[in-house]
Order: sequence, then structure tokens, then C-alpha cells
Amino acid sequence: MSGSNDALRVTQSEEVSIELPSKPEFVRTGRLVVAAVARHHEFGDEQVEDLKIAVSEALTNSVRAHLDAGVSDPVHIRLALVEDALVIEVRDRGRGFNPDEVPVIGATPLPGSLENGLGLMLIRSLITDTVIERSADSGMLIRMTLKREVEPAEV
Amino acid sequence: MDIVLDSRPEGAWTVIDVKGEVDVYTAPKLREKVVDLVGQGSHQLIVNLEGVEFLDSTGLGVLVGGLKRVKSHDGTLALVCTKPKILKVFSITGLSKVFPIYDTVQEAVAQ
Repeated sequence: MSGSNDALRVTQSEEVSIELPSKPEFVRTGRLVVAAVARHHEFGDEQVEDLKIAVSEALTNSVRAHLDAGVSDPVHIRLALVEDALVIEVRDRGRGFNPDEVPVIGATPLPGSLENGLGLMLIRSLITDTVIERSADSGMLIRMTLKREVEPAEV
Repeated sequence: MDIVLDSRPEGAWTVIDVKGEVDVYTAPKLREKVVDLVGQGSHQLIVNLEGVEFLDSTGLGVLVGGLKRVKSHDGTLALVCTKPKILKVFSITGLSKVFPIYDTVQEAVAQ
């Protein structure tokens, strides 16, 4: 009865895994999928907006990395609810960057590598539990974990 | 929704009304609009973000680029925005101290 076992496994894990074409016009699709999954798991509006920005930054970084490296592979997104937290992984096959070498930009931003610095700053501010590492297949893996906040009850 | 851009004169200013989402796909269209307007001699710009549903660092990059561009002509780039989710992106990055941000186009024009 392997068929019924497979069905059971899917309902138990509820992991969402998608591949997006590595093109700027599909970054929006990634945002919408993440927002839909977060709402499905009853995340509130403010947290959904934070997730949309963070995943948009991660996907933008991946799409640009693929463009720079001349790679046409898709970008992978995995989402799963682990206990009370949504874990989102964005994985690419670009050349990656050293997260410690991205310039930190303060109140008076400098142009140049501005956008990369700002993107990473936004991810780390919005999703404090963010891990960035080189993935096994030589690109980058950004793992963001956001604990679901309980919305204050209406008085 | 993609992005919709309209520009109109408002006294000495040129207002760009932005509607939709500003991301890596749509930000180049906003950049093009700003470059065109500055090229046509509009150096006093108001970018109205009230119709914007989403904006990430690529949008911020275009606005910073626009600010540099008008400043090189002794101009100004002001923003109109009251949406908390959009203002949050400016405050996290420190850019709320770089751009004058107003509640309405009328307030921006009056400065």
C-alpha cells in the first residue's frame, strides 16, 4: 500500500518546494508563494510583509548571482513550518559572496555596492535568525527562520 | 500588478505617481522615468509612493540614484509616503534621514 503511505507523508510534512526561473520577473512569484504559505500557517499581516521583503531580497540576490555567473539554472525555494517557525531556504548556483565582506551601510549610505548591502541589511533586520552559507553545489544558501507571533487579542 | 508611472507638473515641481510594486523587475522602469525627467530639465522631483504596495532595496537603489542625479543639478528629490510597511524599509536602512518624506504631495510642494 505504498500509495496511501505517500499520501500520509505529504499531509504530515507540508513542505513546499518550488523552482523559479532565474529571471527578474519571477521574483514577484516567489514573494506571492511565500506570502500564501505564511498566511496558510496563520502568520499575521506585518510578519507576512516582512517575509515578502526578505524573500524578495534573497531572490534578487540569487537572480543577479546567476546573471553574473552566466548560469541559467532555476532558483530553489523551500518552505516548512517547524514547530512555530516558518523556515525559508533560498538556494542558487551563482558564485556566491562572502557575507562578512558586504559593506555595512549606516545612516549615510554610500553608492556603489549599495543595493547588495541594503538588501542584506533588510533581511537581517527583518528576519534576525538568518544563516548564509555556500551551498553544496557552489552557490549560496540563505536560510531565514521567523517565529510566528501571536496576534494580540481584540479587547 | 506590475508598475504604473505617471508624471505631472505641480508648480515648480514634477510629481511622479508610482503605483504597484517596485522590485528588481520593475525598478528599471522607475529609473528610466527619473533619468528622462532629469534629462528634460526637471530637477525638483516628488516621488509619490502612496500607491506603492511593495518596495525593496532595488527600489531604494533607484531613489538614491535619482537623488544623486538631481543633486548634481542643485535639485531636490522628495518622497510622499504614509504607508507603515513602506516607511519601515526607509527607516531600517537609514534612508528616512536622507530623503525628505511628506504625508501629502501638497505638503511636499509647500516646502
